[in-house]
Amino acid sequence: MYKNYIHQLYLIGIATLILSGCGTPPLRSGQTLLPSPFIQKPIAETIKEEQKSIAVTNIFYRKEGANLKYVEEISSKYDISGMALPHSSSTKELEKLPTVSKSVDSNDVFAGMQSSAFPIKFTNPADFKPSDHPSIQRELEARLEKTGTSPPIPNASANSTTVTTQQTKKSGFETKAEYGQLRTFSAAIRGLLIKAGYKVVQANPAIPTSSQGDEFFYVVERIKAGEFNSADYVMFGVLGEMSFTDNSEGIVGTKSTSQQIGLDLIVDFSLIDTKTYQVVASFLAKGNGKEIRIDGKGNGFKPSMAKLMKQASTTLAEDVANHLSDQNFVTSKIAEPEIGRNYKIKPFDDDASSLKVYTK
Amino acid sequence: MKLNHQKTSTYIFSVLAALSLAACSGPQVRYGDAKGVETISVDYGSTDLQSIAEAMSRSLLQTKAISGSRDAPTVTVTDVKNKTSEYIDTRVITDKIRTQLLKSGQVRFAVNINEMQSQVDELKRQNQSGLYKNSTISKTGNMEGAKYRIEGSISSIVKLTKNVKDVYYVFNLNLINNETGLLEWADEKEIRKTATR
Repeated sequence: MYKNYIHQLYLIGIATLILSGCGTPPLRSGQTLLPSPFIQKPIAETIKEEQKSIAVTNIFYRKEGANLKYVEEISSKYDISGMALPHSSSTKELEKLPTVSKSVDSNDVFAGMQSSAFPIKFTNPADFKPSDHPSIQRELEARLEKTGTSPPIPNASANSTTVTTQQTKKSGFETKAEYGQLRTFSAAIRGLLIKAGYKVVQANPAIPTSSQGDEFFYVVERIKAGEFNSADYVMFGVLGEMSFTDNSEGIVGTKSTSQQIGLDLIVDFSLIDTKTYQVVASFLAKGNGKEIRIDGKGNGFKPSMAKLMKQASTTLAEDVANHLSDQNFVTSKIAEPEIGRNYKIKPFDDDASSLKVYTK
Repeated sequence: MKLNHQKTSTYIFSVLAALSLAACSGPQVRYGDAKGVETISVDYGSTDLQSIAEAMSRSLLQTKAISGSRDAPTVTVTDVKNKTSEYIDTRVITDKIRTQLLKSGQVRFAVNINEMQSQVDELKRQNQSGLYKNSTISKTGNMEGAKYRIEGSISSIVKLTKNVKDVYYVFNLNLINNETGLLEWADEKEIRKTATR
C-alpha cells in the first residue's frame, strides 16, 4: 500500500517534469507577447495573386459659391378721411451685387467641366464682412440712399390722408454648390497601379443632376448601382482643396527676384472593397505643380497651366503610391527618390607618385 | 706723373661704369617655400592663414556631425567676420578651409551667398533664354539646400610698448545645423606673435 503510494507520487513527478519541459517559458519582466508579422498575408500580394481589379474614379469635387444679396421690401397703408383702406405692399428685389469671392484663377483648372453661374469660392462665406471690402460697402450705402424714402402719392381729391410706410431691408449670402468630377488627375494614379501589377478597370463617369446634393459622394450607393462594373476595389477620391498661388520674393545675395507660381491640391482618397464595403486604405494625398521664373514679375510672364497641372498630377500620384505602400497596398514603390551622388570618398592615404594597379 | 694721372682716371671710370651697370640690372628673384614660416612682421600673414585653415579643417572633419554621417553632408560657408584692427581678407581663410574639406571627400559644399548671383544668372540663362535643349537644361528649383553652415570670426589684441609689439589672434569657427539652429561644432585657433627691436 505504502509502496503503491510512493510509486504514484513518482509517476506524477515525472509527468509534471515532462509537461513543464514542453510548456512555453514564462515571460521575463519587460517582455510582452506580440503577434507575429508573418501571420497576415499582405493585402497587395493577395490582390495580385487573385487577379482582383481596381476601379479608380475621377476626382469628385464640390464647388461652393456665395452671392451677396440685398432685398428691400416696402409696405404702405393709406387712411383717407379717417376711413382705412386695405393695406397694400410692394416688394422690390434689387439686382444682385457683385459676387464676393477671392480672385482664384482655378476657373482655368475647371475649364471643360460644368460651367458655373457664379465664381468659385473655396473659402467659408461666413468669413465675409462688407466692411472689409470698401467698394461693396460704398455700393451698399449708395443703394440704401437711392431707395431710402419714396412713399407713394395718395389720391389728391381726399381732404386728409394718413400714410403708414413700413420698409424692410435684408441682406445676406445666397450660397450655391456645384458638383462634378476632375478628369485630369486620376490617369497618373491608374498608371502607377498598372505599373505595380494591378488590374485596373474603367469607372463610369458620375454625372450630377440639376438639383444635386451631397449624395453625390455616396460611393457605397454608386457601388450598389453598379457604376464601377465588376471592379473588386474602388479608389474613390474627393477634392479637399485646390489653390493657385503667385508669389514673388527677392533672392538674397543677388539683384534678382524669384516668381513662384504654384498649383496645390489635396485629395481625400479611400480604397473600398466592393463586396464588403470595407475601407482597405484611406489617406490624404497632396499634389503640387510649380513654375519658378527668375525676374518674372513685371515682365508679363504667364505661367503654363498645362505644365502646372501635369506636375500636380504626377506628384499627386507619387504621394498616392507612397500612402498605398505605407498601408500595404502597393508592394513596389513607384516613386523612388532620385539617388544623388552623395557618397563619401575615401581619401588616398598613400603617396600619389606610387604605382597603383587595379584589377576587376 | 702724367701716366699716374691717366691710371687714376681709368680706375675711376671703370668703377663708375661698374656701378652704373649694377644700377641698371633688375632685382634678384627667387622662389621660396610657400609653406615656410614667415616672420617678417607681427601682422597677419601667410603662416597664420595656413595654420588656421589646417587646424580648423582637421578639427571639423573629426566632429560627429561629419564623421558620423553616412552621407557626405551639405555645407555652406558664410563670411568670417574680421574684428581685428587690420585688413584681413577673410574670404581666403574660408576658401582654404573649404578646399581642404572638399579634398577629404567627407563634405559637399552648396554655393554660398557670394556665389549666388552667378548661380542665378546661369539658371536664368539656361531656363529662360529658350536657347537650350530641354533635356540638357539644369532646371530651376532643384538646387540643394545646405544642411549645415560654417561661420566664424577673427579677433585680435595688440599690445605695444617702446620696444615690444605683441599681437594675439583668436580665430573662431562654428558649424550650425540650418534646420534645427543647433551649434554642432565649434573650435578656435590662437596665435601669439611678439616683435622686439
